[in-house]
Amino acid sequence: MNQALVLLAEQEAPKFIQFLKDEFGRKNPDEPVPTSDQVVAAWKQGLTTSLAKDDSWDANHPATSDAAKTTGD
Amino acid sequence: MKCLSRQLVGIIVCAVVIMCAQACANKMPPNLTPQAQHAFVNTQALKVLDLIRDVAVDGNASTPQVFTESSTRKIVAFHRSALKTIDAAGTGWSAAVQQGLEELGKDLPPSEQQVLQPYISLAISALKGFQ
Repeated sequence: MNQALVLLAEQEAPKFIQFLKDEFGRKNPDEPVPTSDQVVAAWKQGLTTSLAKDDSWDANHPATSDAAKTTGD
Repeated sequence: MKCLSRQLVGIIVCAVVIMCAQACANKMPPNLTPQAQHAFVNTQALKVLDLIRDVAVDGNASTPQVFTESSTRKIVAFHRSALKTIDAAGTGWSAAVQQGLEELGKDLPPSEQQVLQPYISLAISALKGFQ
C-alpha cells in the first residue's frame, strides 16, 4: 500500500506542480493576453474534455463491478 | 516519525496553497467581458477539480489500489456534478462546491481521505480565492 502511495505521489506530482505553475506562476510579460473569445472557448473546451473523461471512467467501471469486487474480497 | 513528516508535508502544502490562492485573485487578464471573466474563473476551478478527479482515477488504477472503485465513483460523480453546477450557475457556485468538497472528504474511508485531503484543501483554498 505504501509503495502504491509513493507511485501515486510520483505520478501526480508533475501534474500538481504544473497546476501550480499554470495557475499561480509569474507570467512572462511578453506572453500574449488571451481575448474574451479565447477565454470562453477554453472554458467550453475544457468542460467538454473533462466531462468526457468522467463519462469514460464510468463506462469502463459499471456500478455492478463494485458489488462483484466486494463479494470477491 | 512518519506521522510527523506527513504533518510537515501537510503544513507546507497548506502554506503554499494559501499563498497561491491569494495570488490567484490578481491574475485575470485585463479587458475581459463579464462572460469571459466568468469563463476564466470557471476554468481555474475546472483545473483544480480535475486534479482531484485525476488523483482518484490514477489511484484507483494503481496496484494495489489507493482508492477503491466505490470511492472513485463518488469522486467522479462529485466532479461531474460540480462542473455542471459551475457551468449552469455562472456565478455564486463557489460556496456550494466548497461545501461539496468538504462533504466528499468526510464520505471517504480514513486512509483514502488522508491521501486526498491535501488536494481537497488546495481546491477549497483556490475556490475561496474565486469568490
